[in-house]
Amino acid sequence: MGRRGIVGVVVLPRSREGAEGGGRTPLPSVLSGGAEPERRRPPRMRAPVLLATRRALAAMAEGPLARAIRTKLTAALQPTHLQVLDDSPRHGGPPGAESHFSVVVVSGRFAGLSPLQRHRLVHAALSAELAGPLHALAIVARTPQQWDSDPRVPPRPPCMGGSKHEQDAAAHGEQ
Amino acid sequence: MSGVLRAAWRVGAAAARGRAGRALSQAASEGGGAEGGGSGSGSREAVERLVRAHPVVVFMKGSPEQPLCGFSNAVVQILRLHGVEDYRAHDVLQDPDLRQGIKNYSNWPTIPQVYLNGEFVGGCDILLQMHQNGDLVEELKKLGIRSALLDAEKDQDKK
Repeated sequence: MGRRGIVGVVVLPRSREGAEGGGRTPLPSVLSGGAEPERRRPPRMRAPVLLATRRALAAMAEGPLARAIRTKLTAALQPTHLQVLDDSPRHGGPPGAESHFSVVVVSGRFAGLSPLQRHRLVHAALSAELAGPLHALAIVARTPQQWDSDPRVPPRPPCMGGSKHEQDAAAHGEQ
Repeated sequence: MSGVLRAAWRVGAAAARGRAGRALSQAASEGGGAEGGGSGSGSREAVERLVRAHPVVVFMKGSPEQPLCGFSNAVVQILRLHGVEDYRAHDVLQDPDLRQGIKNYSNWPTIPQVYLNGEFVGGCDILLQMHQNGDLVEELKKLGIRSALLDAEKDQDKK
Protein backbone atom coordinates (compact mmCIF):
# COMPACT_ATOMS: atom_id res chain seq x y z
CA MET A 1 0.00 0.00 0.00
CA GLY A 2 1.69 3.13 -1.17
CA ARG A 3 1.57 6.02 1.21
CA ARG A 4 2.16 9.56 0.20
CA GLY A 5 4.27 11.63 2.50
CA ILE A 6 2.12 14.72 2.78
CA VAL A 7 -1.61 14.53 2.58
CA GLY A 8 -2.39 18.22 2.61
CA VAL A 9 -5.73 19.89 3.30
CA VAL A 10 -8.74 17.77 2.64
CA VAL A 11 -11.89 19.34 1.29
CA LEU A 12 -14.82 17.24 2.38
CA PRO A 13 -17.40 16.49 -0.28
CA ARG A 14 -20.61 18.50 -0.28
CA SER A 15 -23.76 17.05 1.30
CA ARG A 16 -25.35 14.37 -0.81
CA GLU A 17 -28.70 16.03 -1.38
CA GLY A 18 -27.46 18.63 -3.74
CA ALA A 19 -24.81 16.73 -5.59
CA GLU A 20 -26.00 13.72 -7.55
CA GLY A 21 -24.09 11.83 -10.13
CA GLY A 22 -20.82 13.41 -10.97
CA GLY A 23 -21.02 16.27 -8.49
CA ARG A 24 -19.25 14.61 -5.64
CA THR A 25 -15.50 14.84 -5.45
CA PRO A 26 -14.27 11.44 -4.46
CA LEU A 27 -12.00 11.06 -1.49
CA PRO A 28 -8.53 9.96 -2.40
CA SER A 29 -8.39 6.30 -1.61
CA VAL A 30 -5.48 6.82 0.76
CA LEU A 31 -7.72 8.93 3.01
CA SER A 32 -10.67 6.61 2.97
CA GLY A 33 -8.41 4.01 4.44
CA GLY A 34 -8.41 1.91 1.35
CA ALA A 35 -12.09 1.05 1.79
CA GLU A 36 -12.94 2.20 -1.71
CA PRO A 37 -11.54 0.14 -4.54
CA GLU A 38 -8.61 1.56 -6.38
CA ARG A 39 -10.67 2.35 -9.50
CA ARG A 40 -10.74 6.01 -10.26
CA ARG A 41 -14.15 7.54 -10.90
CA PRO A 42 -14.08 10.53 -13.20
CA PRO A 43 -14.72 13.62 -11.09
CA ARG A 44 -17.43 14.77 -13.50
CA MET A 45 -18.43 14.38 -17.11
CA ARG A 46 -16.55 16.64 -19.40
CA ALA A 47 -18.76 19.46 -20.61
CA PRO A 48 -18.75 18.64 -24.35
CA VAL A 49 -19.63 15.02 -23.64
CA LEU A 50 -22.47 16.08 -21.39
CA LEU A 51 -23.79 18.49 -24.00
CA ALA A 52 -23.64 15.87 -26.72
CA THR A 53 -25.48 13.41 -24.52
CA ARG A 54 -28.16 15.96 -23.78
CA ARG A 55 -28.55 16.68 -27.48
CA ALA A 56 -28.80 13.00 -28.30
CA LEU A 57 -31.46 12.50 -25.67
CA ALA A 58 -33.39 15.50 -26.93
CA ALA A 59 -33.24 14.20 -30.47
CA MET A 60 -34.60 10.88 -29.30
CA ALA A 61 -37.30 12.63 -27.34
CA GLU A 62 -38.68 14.74 -30.17
CA GLY A 63 -38.74 13.55 -33.74
CA PRO A 64 -39.63 15.71 -36.72
CA LEU A 65 -43.39 15.14 -36.42
CA ALA A 66 -43.33 15.98 -32.73
CA ARG A 67 -41.48 19.17 -33.51
CA ALA A 68 -43.96 20.05 -36.26
CA ILE A 69 -46.87 19.47 -33.90
CA ARG A 70 -45.25 21.61 -31.26
CA THR A 71 -44.50 24.42 -33.71
CA LYS A 72 -47.99 24.49 -35.21
CA LEU A 73 -49.83 24.32 -31.92
CA THR A 74 -47.65 27.06 -30.51
CA ALA A 75 -48.31 29.29 -33.50
CA ALA A 76 -52.06 28.64 -33.58
CA LEU A 77 -52.90 28.67 -29.89
CA GLN A 78 -50.10 30.45 -28.02
CA PRO A 79 -50.31 27.90 -25.22
CA THR A 80 -49.11 28.66 -21.72
CA HIS A 81 -48.37 24.97 -21.33
CA LEU A 82 -47.83 22.42 -24.08
CA GLN A 83 -46.93 18.79 -23.87
CA VAL A 84 -46.40 16.67 -26.97
CA LEU A 85 -45.94 12.97 -26.43
CA ASP A 86 -45.22 10.29 -28.98
CA ASP A 87 -47.39 7.40 -27.85
CA SER A 88 -46.45 5.23 -30.79
CA PRO A 89 -44.43 2.73 -28.74
CA ARG A 90 -47.56 2.05 -26.70
CA HIS A 91 -49.40 1.13 -29.88
CA GLY A 92 -47.03 -1.49 -31.17
CA GLY A 93 -44.82 0.86 -33.12
CA PRO A 94 -41.08 1.04 -32.60
CA PRO A 95 -39.74 3.97 -30.57
CA GLY A 96 -39.77 7.07 -32.71
CA ALA A 97 -42.51 5.72 -34.99
CA GLU A 98 -44.39 9.00 -34.61
CA SER A 99 -47.84 7.73 -35.57
CA HIS A 100 -49.83 8.16 -32.34
CA PHE A 101 -49.53 11.32 -30.30
CA SER A 102 -51.13 12.80 -27.26
CA VAL A 103 -51.05 16.52 -26.61
CA VAL A 104 -51.85 18.62 -23.58
CA VAL A 105 -52.64 22.17 -24.66
CA VAL A 106 -53.33 24.91 -22.15
CA SER A 107 -54.41 28.12 -23.83
CA GLY A 108 -56.54 31.14 -23.16
CA ARG A 109 -57.88 30.75 -26.70
CA PHE A 110 -60.05 27.92 -25.40
CA ALA A 111 -62.05 30.16 -23.10
CA GLY A 112 -65.76 29.96 -23.78
CA LEU A 113 -65.37 27.12 -26.25
CA SER A 114 -66.96 23.70 -25.87
CA PRO A 115 -64.68 20.65 -25.79
CA LEU A 116 -65.70 19.90 -29.36
CA GLN A 117 -64.77 23.40 -30.52
CA ARG A 118 -61.46 23.22 -28.69
CA HIS A 119 -60.55 19.90 -30.26
CA ARG A 120 -61.51 21.22 -33.68
CA LEU A 121 -59.09 24.12 -33.18
CA VAL A 122 -56.34 21.64 -32.44
CA HIS A 123 -57.28 19.54 -35.47
CA ALA A 124 -57.30 22.64 -37.67
CA ALA A 125 -53.79 23.54 -36.55
CA LEU A 126 -52.62 20.03 -37.40
CA SER A 127 -54.69 19.39 -40.53
CA ALA A 128 -51.66 18.67 -42.71
CA GLU A 129 -50.23 16.21 -40.21
CA LEU A 130 -53.60 14.51 -39.71
CA ALA A 131 -53.93 14.12 -43.46
CA GLY A 132 -50.49 12.52 -43.44
CA PRO A 133 -48.46 10.56 -40.93
CA LEU A 134 -50.43 11.45 -37.79
CA HIS A 135 -52.83 8.58 -37.30
CA ALA A 136 -54.09 9.12 -33.79
CA LEU A 137 -54.27 12.17 -31.61
CA ALA A 138 -55.40 12.26 -28.00
CA ILE A 139 -56.14 15.79 -26.82
CA VAL A 140 -56.40 17.52 -23.47
CA ALA A 141 -57.44 21.12 -24.06
CA ARG A 142 -57.85 23.43 -21.08
CA THR A 143 -57.81 27.08 -20.25
CA PRO A 144 -55.04 28.26 -17.92
CA GLN A 145 -57.57 28.54 -15.08
CA GLN A 146 -58.77 25.00 -15.63
CA TRP A 147 -55.21 23.72 -15.77
CA ASP A 148 -54.27 25.51 -12.55
CA SER A 149 -57.17 23.96 -10.72
CA ASP A 150 -56.63 20.52 -12.25
CA PRO A 151 -53.30 19.68 -13.87
CA ARG A 152 -54.05 15.98 -14.03
CA VAL A 153 -54.15 14.20 -17.37
CA PRO A 154 -56.44 11.17 -17.73
CA PRO A 155 -54.74 7.83 -18.30
CA ARG A 156 -54.37 6.78 -21.90
CA PRO A 157 -56.22 3.63 -22.90
CA PRO A 158 -54.08 0.60 -23.62
CA CYS A 159 -53.58 -0.34 -27.24
CA MET A 160 -55.67 -3.24 -28.47
CA GLY A 161 -54.15 -3.72 -31.86
CA GLY A 162 -56.22 -1.20 -33.78
CA SER A 163 -55.85 -1.41 -37.50
CA LYS A 164 -53.42 -4.29 -37.26
CA HIS A 165 -56.60 -6.34 -37.19
CA GLU A 166 -57.37 -5.30 -40.73
CA GLN A 167 -56.82 -7.85 -43.45
CA ASP A 168 -54.98 -5.54 -45.78
CA ALA A 169 -51.67 -4.19 -44.60
CA ALA A 170 -52.75 -0.59 -44.62
CA ALA A 171 -51.15 1.95 -42.33
CA HIS A 172 -51.78 1.11 -38.73
CA GLY A 173 -53.41 3.81 -36.71
CA GLU A 174 -56.64 5.20 -35.44
CA GLN A 175 -57.74 6.90 -38.62
CA MET B 1 -61.27 8.21 -10.88
CA SER B 2 -58.35 7.24 -13.09
CA GLY B 3 -57.91 4.03 -11.09
CA VAL B 4 -61.53 3.13 -11.69
CA LEU B 5 -61.15 3.79 -15.38
CA ARG B 6 -58.00 1.73 -15.69
CA ALA B 7 -59.73 -1.14 -13.93
CA ALA B 8 -62.76 -0.77 -16.17
CA TRP B 9 -60.61 -0.86 -19.27
CA ARG B 10 -58.84 -4.01 -18.13
CA VAL B 11 -62.11 -5.70 -17.21
CA GLY B 12 -63.72 -4.62 -20.45
CA ALA B 13 -60.86 -5.81 -22.56
CA ALA B 14 -60.77 -9.19 -20.86
CA ALA B 15 -64.52 -9.62 -20.88
CA ALA B 16 -64.81 -8.53 -24.46
CA ARG B 17 -62.50 -11.30 -25.52
CA GLY B 18 -64.71 -13.91 -23.88
CA ARG B 19 -68.18 -12.53 -24.31
CA ALA B 20 -70.61 -13.97 -26.82
CA GLY B 21 -71.91 -11.66 -29.50
CA ARG B 22 -74.77 -9.39 -28.71
CA ALA B 23 -77.48 -9.63 -31.32
CA LEU B 24 -78.31 -5.95 -31.62
CA SER B 25 -74.83 -4.59 -32.15
CA GLN B 26 -73.78 -7.47 -34.30
CA ALA B 27 -76.79 -6.99 -36.50
CA ALA B 28 -75.96 -3.33 -36.77
CA SER B 29 -72.36 -4.03 -37.73
CA GLU B 30 -73.34 -6.74 -40.13
CA GLY B 31 -76.09 -4.54 -41.52
CA GLY B 32 -73.54 -1.86 -42.15
CA GLY B 33 -71.24 -4.37 -43.75
CA ALA B 34 -73.96 -5.88 -45.88
CA GLU B 35 -75.07 -2.62 -47.38
CA GLY B 36 -71.52 -1.37 -47.51
CA GLY B 37 -68.62 -2.51 -49.59
CA GLY B 38 -69.90 -0.35 -52.40
CA SER B 39 -69.47 3.37 -52.81
CA GLY B 40 -72.82 4.10 -51.20
CA SER B 41 -72.02 3.30 -47.60
CA GLY B 42 -69.83 6.34 -47.11
CA SER B 43 -72.13 8.89 -48.70
CA ARG B 44 -73.60 11.68 -46.62
CA GLU B 45 -77.07 10.24 -47.01
CA ALA B 46 -76.00 6.81 -45.87
CA VAL B 47 -74.12 8.18 -42.88
CA GLU B 48 -77.02 10.47 -42.02
CA ARG B 49 -79.32 7.44 -41.93
CA LEU B 50 -76.94 5.65 -39.60
CA VAL B 51 -76.50 8.48 -37.12
CA ARG B 52 -80.23 9.07 -36.91
CA ALA B 53 -81.14 5.39 -36.55
CA HIS B 54 -80.81 5.36 -32.78
CA PRO B 55 -80.30 7.83 -29.90
CA VAL B 56 -76.79 6.50 -29.29
CA VAL B 57 -74.61 5.63 -32.28
CA VAL B 58 -70.92 4.82 -32.16
CA PHE B 59 -68.45 4.40 -35.01
CA MET B 60 -65.54 2.38 -33.76
CA LYS B 61 -62.90 -0.20 -34.54
CA GLY B 62 -64.16 -3.63 -33.72
CA SER B 63 -67.41 -4.22 -31.88
CA PRO B 64 -68.62 -3.62 -28.33
CA GLU B 65 -68.04 -7.30 -27.66
CA GLN B 66 -64.59 -7.16 -29.12
CA PRO B 67 -63.15 -3.68 -29.49
CA LEU B 68 -59.97 -3.66 -31.54
CA CYS B 69 -58.63 -0.32 -30.42
CA GLY B 70 -57.97 1.11 -26.99
CA PHE B 71 -59.77 4.37 -27.75
CA SER B 72 -62.81 2.56 -29.11
CA ASN B 73 -62.79 0.28 -26.09
CA ALA B 74 -62.73 3.31 -23.81
CA VAL B 75 -65.98 4.54 -25.41
CA VAL B 76 -67.58 1.12 -24.95
CA GLN B 77 -66.49 0.95 -21.33
CA ILE B 78 -67.76 4.43 -20.51
CA LEU B 79 -71.15 3.64 -22.00
CA ARG B 80 -71.17 0.41 -20.06
CA LEU B 81 -70.40 2.24 -16.81
CA HIS B 82 -73.53 4.30 -17.42
CA GLY B 83 -75.54 1.18 -18.11
CA VAL B 84 -75.97 2.02 -21.80
CA GLU B 85 -75.91 -1.34 -23.54
CA ASP B 86 -78.53 -0.66 -26.19
CA TYR B 87 -76.87 1.37 -28.91
CA ARG B 88 -75.80 1.12 -32.55
CA ALA B 89 -72.13 0.34 -33.09
CA HIS B 90 -70.49 0.34 -36.51
CA ASP B 91 -67.13 -1.27 -37.13
CA VAL B 92 -65.30 0.94 -39.58
CA LEU B 93 -62.65 -1.71 -40.09
CA GLN B 94 -65.29 -3.71 -41.95
CA ASP B 95 -66.12 -0.88 -44.34
CA PRO B 96 -63.45 1.45 -45.72
CA ASP B 97 -66.05 3.64 -47.40
CA LEU B 98 -67.89 4.16 -44.15
CA ARG B 99 -64.60 4.78 -42.42
CA GLN B 100 -63.85 7.70 -44.74
CA GLY B 101 -67.47 8.78 -45.03
CA ILE B 102 -67.94 9.23 -41.30
CA LYS B 103 -64.85 11.41 -41.11
CA ASN B 104 -66.12 13.57 -43.96
CA TYR B 105 -69.57 13.79 -42.40
CA SER B 106 -68.38 15.01 -39.02
CA ASN B 107 -65.26 16.75 -40.31
CA TRP B 108 -63.39 14.84 -37.65
CA PRO B 109 -60.21 12.97 -38.48
CA THR B 110 -60.27 10.06 -36.07
CA ILE B 111 -62.20 7.05 -34.83
CA PRO B 112 -64.09 6.44 -32.51
CA GLN B 113 -66.94 8.89 -33.04
CA VAL B 114 -69.97 9.18 -30.78
CA TYR B 115 -73.35 10.53 -31.89
CA LEU B 116 -76.14 11.35 -29.47
CA ASN B 117 -79.54 11.99 -31.02
CA GLY B 118 -77.97 12.26 -34.45
CA GLU B 119 -75.51 14.88 -33.33
CA PHE B 120 -71.77 14.41 -33.25
CA VAL B 121 -70.56 14.68 -29.70
CA GLY B 122 -66.87 13.87 -30.04
CA GLY B 123 -64.36 11.08 -29.67
CA CYS B 124 -62.97 9.16 -26.77
CA ASP B 125 -61.36 12.15 -25.04
CA ILE B 126 -64.53 14.21 -25.08
CA LEU B 127 -66.72 11.35 -23.94
CA LEU B 128 -64.33 10.74 -21.09
CA GLN B 129 -64.51 14.39 -20.12
CA MET B 130 -68.29 14.33 -20.25
CA HIS B 131 -68.27 11.24 -18.10
CA GLN B 132 -66.00 12.86 -15.51
CA ASN B 133 -67.81 16.18 -15.28
CA GLY B 134 -71.33 14.80 -15.22
CA ASP B 135 -72.35 16.06 -18.66
CA LEU B 136 -72.84 12.57 -19.99
CA VAL B 137 -75.44 11.79 -17.34
CA GLU B 138 -77.29 14.94 -18.39
CA GLU B 139 -77.07 14.23 -22.10
CA LEU B 140 -78.33 10.70 -21.58
CA LYS B 141 -81.19 12.05 -19.50
CA LYS B 142 -82.20 14.28 -22.43
CA LEU B 143 -82.43 11.13 -24.53
CA GLY B 144 -84.62 9.48 -21.97
CA ILE B 145 -81.81 7.22 -20.81
CA ARG B 146 -81.21 6.99 -17.10
CA SER B 147 -77.54 6.54 -16.32
CA ALA B 148 -76.72 3.58 -14.10
CA LEU B 149 -74.37 5.84 -12.17
CA LEU B 150 -77.36 7.71 -10.76
CA ASP B 151 -78.61 4.50 -9.22
CA ALA B 152 -75.14 3.74 -7.94
CA GLU B 153 -75.05 7.15 -6.24
CA LYS B 154 -78.46 6.53 -4.73
CA ASP B 155 -77.28 3.28 -3.25
CA GLN B 156 -74.28 5.03 -1.78
CA ASP B 157 -76.47 7.69 -0.24
CA LYS B 158 -78.59 5.06 1.43
CA LYS B 159 -75.56 3.57 3.13
